[in-house]
Amino acid sequence: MSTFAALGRNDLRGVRRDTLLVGLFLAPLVWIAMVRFGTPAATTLAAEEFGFDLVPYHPLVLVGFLLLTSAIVVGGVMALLVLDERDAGTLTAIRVTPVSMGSYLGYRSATTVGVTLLIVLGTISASGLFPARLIPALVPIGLLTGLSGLVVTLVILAVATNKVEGVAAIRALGIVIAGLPLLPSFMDSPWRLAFGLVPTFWPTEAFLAAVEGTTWWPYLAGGVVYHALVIWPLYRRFTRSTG
Amino acid sequence: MNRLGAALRLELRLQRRYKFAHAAVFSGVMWLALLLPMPPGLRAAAEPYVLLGDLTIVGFFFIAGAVFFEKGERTLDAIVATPLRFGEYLAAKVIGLTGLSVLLAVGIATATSGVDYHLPLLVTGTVLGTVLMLLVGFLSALPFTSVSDWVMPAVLPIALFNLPIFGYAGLWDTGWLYLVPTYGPLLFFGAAFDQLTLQPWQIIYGLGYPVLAAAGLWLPARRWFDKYLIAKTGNA
Repeated sequence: MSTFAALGRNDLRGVRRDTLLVGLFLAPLVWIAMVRFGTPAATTLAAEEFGFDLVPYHPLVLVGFLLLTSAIVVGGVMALLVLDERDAGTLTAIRVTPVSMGSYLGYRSATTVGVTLLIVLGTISASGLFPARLIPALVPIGLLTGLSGLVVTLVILAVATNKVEGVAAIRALGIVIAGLPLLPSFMDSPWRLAFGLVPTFWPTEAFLAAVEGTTWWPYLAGGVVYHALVIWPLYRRFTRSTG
Repeated sequence: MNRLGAALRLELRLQRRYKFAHAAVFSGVMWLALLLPMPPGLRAAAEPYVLLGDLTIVGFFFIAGAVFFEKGERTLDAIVATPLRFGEYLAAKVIGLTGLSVLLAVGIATATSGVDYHLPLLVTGTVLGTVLMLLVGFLSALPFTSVSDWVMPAVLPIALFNLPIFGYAGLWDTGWLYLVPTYGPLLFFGAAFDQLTLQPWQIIYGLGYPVLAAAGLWLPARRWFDKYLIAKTGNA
């Protein structure tokens, strides 16, 4: 735990000088403002101009703008932090300290999941579109979204050799992680489960089921299992590549 | 022209080496995966947003990425010592990456709408929109030493240049948005998919203003390049 405290102190010291982390704090505020003020305006416009009722799609707006963006942004920022540390030789330095690579990675993983959870909880409950009685359900779903964020981090670290490639990988993953899971909602065939290959499919479906009041825990359980299966080989790959 | 030709050849080689083409194709395939399942009416309505919101942005990230690559690899030190002029260096980048964007836009439009769209309007919008975003991307990357310092502030110019989307959608009815030079290209995208009919003033505005804005961005590009890169070369 003292390892976590030391690494955490170091990160917070970085917040002051690192635009990356400052952005991580500011971005959610912008999203909240966009969804909170933009959705009612868009709903009125759709109703008046096109006679289209946007209200049933509000949960999907929350998923698209808040839930999925959290996973890709937090996962991407964490990957860039690790790439920064790899470039700066911090990872090499860590090896000669009493901190093991395992606890360093454990710390990074825990912060990825924790920060994603906080952003999901904060943005969705502040959006004005989410019933307060469902907030307890948002905790496990937010944690699962955090695991998706961790997959994003590990995938970027697996494919990118430097930070420029890291940014390119975030760009490419963005559509996959934050775009594709929106599609199954418009599909009515068993094929929609094929989207389960995209990690964020699971928190998305759990969230939408929770809002509809149908059984959502199978998506949560399936998601945890699938994420574990994906994270393990990626994690091994990273420890081998730095070891 | 010869120097520009050589610079362009170098640019295309770098595009391949940095895997920009791969990334562009990947993002194109992903957009198709998103757009093709949509009902045709919705797809035609979504297409202008996709084109402005993503395709022109591809260039923004690529050119910034290229600047950071060249800083890191010290290729700029070599380029500065050649007879290649700054204008040719930047023009090669802009031409190469705009070409990539046009291929991507035409590919996506053809795959989603067949021949049911107006090619000249689409190409005009893509060229103007991409050139603007490339110059903004180039400028945005120069003051930063590291990619990770740049990535969050870079969201601001992207957000600013995407503001016309709100005006186009009718969500924000204000003439101020016409000050953002990407509004013209967005109108062209809309017209390319028959979402609107261009008025004569919109055509003049949509062609003239982005060109003026691009020229206005070109000037500081030169100054900033000298200030942030050349002055630092050798002791960076």
